[in-house]
Amino acid sequence: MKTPAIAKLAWLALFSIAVLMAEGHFLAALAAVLIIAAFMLGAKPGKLLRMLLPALPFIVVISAFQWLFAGPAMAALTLVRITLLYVAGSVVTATTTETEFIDTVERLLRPVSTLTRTDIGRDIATMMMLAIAFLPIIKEEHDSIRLAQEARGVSYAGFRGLIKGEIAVIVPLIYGLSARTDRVATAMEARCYGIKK
Amino acid sequence: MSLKAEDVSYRYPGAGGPAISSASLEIGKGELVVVCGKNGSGKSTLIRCLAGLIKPSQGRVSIDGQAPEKARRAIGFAVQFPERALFERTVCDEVAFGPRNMGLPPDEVDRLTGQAIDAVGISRDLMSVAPRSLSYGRKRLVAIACAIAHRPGYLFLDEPAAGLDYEGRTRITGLIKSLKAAGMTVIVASHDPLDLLDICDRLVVLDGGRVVADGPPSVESLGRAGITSDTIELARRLQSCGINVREAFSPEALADSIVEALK
Repeated sequence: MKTPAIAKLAWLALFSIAVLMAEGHFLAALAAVLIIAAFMLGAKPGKLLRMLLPALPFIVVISAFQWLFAGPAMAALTLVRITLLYVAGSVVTATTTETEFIDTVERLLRPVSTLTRTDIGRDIATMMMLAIAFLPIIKEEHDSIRLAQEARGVSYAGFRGLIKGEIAVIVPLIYGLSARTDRVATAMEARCYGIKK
Repeated sequence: MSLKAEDVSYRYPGAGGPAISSASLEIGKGELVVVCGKNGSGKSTLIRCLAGLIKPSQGRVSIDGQAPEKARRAIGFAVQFPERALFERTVCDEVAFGPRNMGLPPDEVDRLTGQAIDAVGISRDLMSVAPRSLSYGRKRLVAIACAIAHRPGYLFLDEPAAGLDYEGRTRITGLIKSLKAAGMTVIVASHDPLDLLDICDRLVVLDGGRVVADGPPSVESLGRAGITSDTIELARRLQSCGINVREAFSPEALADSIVEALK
């Protein structure tokens, strides 16, 4: 049976509170809970690892600062806590579709919409949907601008080249995205978005 | 009941000159009006002003006697390259976005969504598919379905055939023809309007933001937009050779006329 998104979000909230409060053996127990939850929800270990890897340098830097200011024990505790929280979040996002997420947010906010006599639930869900829909578009635009810049002789070789090359991508990327945002806003307005019913 | 623009001008913030200067138009119910002109002549700006999506810097627009912001339900608008403005999860949700915004009951939303999908000729099997996964031509049709889903009286299409192949352009022309036949007022902005000239009621030509021609399409008015018609040229040559053909803008209409004349 498929676990509803609302149950997963509730579990994530409780698990996060427990992780922030726990220390020592309790953290080991929570790690075991996380492994069981990941198995039960059908999250693939390879995918979780791929999701964790890009965040790992940031987690290590945060822990290093803890080492400097609060000592090695606090640094280790921080490292374990953030890793557990990140993996728990990844388990939920890897096993929930964006549609389920957005529908759940809209449903959770329905009482607020009723109380305030507004469409705030739907508005927030629409904003989330737009943000999610735009992510692959940003990547597509970035890749096509980078290709165009490479064709014009911009070199991405080495760290300095990469930084200089990316600077050459950012300006047209922002310009292109703002034009696209304007297009989406116009299309939404023309389709009665925000109209007083 | 009509759409009226009186002495409309629009200047973009920071721009040197106005994009539209003192444009006055009246578009009656059920008309198919093509707004043409060279790139940068102000076509998109004019139809955005007419649809109430931007407020004119000067002059006024009224839709069925109301200010455009109060007549938003009467307006359908497909922006240029409208497929780039698709964002919903499924074709069904995308098309239903407008009717839902109007606060209609779910069964009415479903009915209007289905009708719009049928009107543009997309299979209902595609309703649960993500719009982004469709082909370019189908995305364009979905975007037009979105613009007509809430049953607007006035439909604005900004370069509806831009970037499409011959088959796609023919489908769009057929769709515009059927929407006009269904009683919708259709206003199309296009820099290459030859496909539409045989079915449109009026051609409005813009040059440098000014309306320089407004009336039934003619070679002269097209010339003011920098457009030449090979079919008219051919028809005139045939006439000079004694073959009594009708002057037509589309190759299909000219071919029919030649067949008729040679019978």
